[in-house]
Amino acid sequence: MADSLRELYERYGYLVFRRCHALLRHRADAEDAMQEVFMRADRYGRRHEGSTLSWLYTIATHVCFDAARRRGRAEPTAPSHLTLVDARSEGTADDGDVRALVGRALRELDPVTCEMGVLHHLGGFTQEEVAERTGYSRKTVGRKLEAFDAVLRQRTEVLS
Amino acid sequence: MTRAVGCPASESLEAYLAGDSVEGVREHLEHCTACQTAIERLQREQARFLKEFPPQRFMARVEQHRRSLRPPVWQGIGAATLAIAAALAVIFVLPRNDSGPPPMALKGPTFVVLRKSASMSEPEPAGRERPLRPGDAVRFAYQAPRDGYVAVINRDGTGAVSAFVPFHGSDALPWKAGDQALPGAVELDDARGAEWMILIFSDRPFALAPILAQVQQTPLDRTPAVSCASCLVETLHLPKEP
Repeated sequence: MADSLRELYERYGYLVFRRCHALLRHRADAEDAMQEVFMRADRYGRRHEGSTLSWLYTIATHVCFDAARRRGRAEPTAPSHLTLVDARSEGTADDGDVRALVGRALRELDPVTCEMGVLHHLGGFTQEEVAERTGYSRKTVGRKLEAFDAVLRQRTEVLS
Repeated sequence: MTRAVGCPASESLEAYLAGDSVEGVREHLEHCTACQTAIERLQREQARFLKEFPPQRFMARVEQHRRSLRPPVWQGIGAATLAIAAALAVIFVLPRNDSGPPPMALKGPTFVVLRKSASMSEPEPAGRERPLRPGDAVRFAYQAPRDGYVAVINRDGTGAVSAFVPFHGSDALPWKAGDQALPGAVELDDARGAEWMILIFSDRPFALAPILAQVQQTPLDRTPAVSCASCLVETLHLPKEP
């Protein structure tokens, strides 16, 4: 079991840490969350169709969602620094700002909306792809992403 | 999120990097320099990460964490365990704070939550006289009226909602009428407050996402509301103490 956990970490550790950091915006918390993700994955085994990374990302979203709600700590970040703290520098500067704020939304929205927001803004999936992955209609996904984006806009306004 | 036309989602590239089978990515990389560049950057960052956080360090932290929890040795649910539950026959439920209906009392071992701490040699049914505690390993037993599909959803005292059976799963488990012990054990964290355990049974397959959303949207001071077509729902509100 230890060998498989080690192998899991070697293959997916960086990506899971990166996702946790994107959600929690705190290095030490992200490392704790990453560890928790792998311990849960090792303990309960895989019962998920699709890629192993998608399964680990699902667990990471739940771990980080729970951690964000328990933590309840706001880390003020000036708007001019938002793109600098983004882990990836992909897409436009606006995309970077959005990704930097995704984790903030975890405390304010339900798990389904959060999962869709994470898939869209961090996973890079289109609304159609999010609908396919979550089993919800394209219309419902659109509505929930609007709610997610409204929280992000509100956060941006608070910071500006 | 902006994404070049024809390029896969960033998560698909990441899965490809990790060695997962992802349809179409390999072919796409043969002619897309932007995605090739993204993959190469991820590879460099991954190498830097593993140098800073090598596997040995990670495994050492995991072992340290496990030693600190002293996880219980779970003997497994057998007929003897369910016999204990059967002998008790009544599971007590905390009274609710609102002015709603009186507390529920379930009779008979239809849905049972079993807890086991590191200091216990045998599991016991959780309840008012046997509160849950942080670090407990919990398992679930359910006697279904017929073949169908089953899931267990948890809402902890902070309002966090997750699927316990199947663990972090997306769809209910197929379940036979004669089966009793649900697969897997869940180790409880230190979140304060009573735990809601909600079992949902249906003759037909069902997705968990809508159920999770319903539970999440119920105010904390109310019984989690679950409504799904042709479902049986059994809810336990179990005390949790430090």
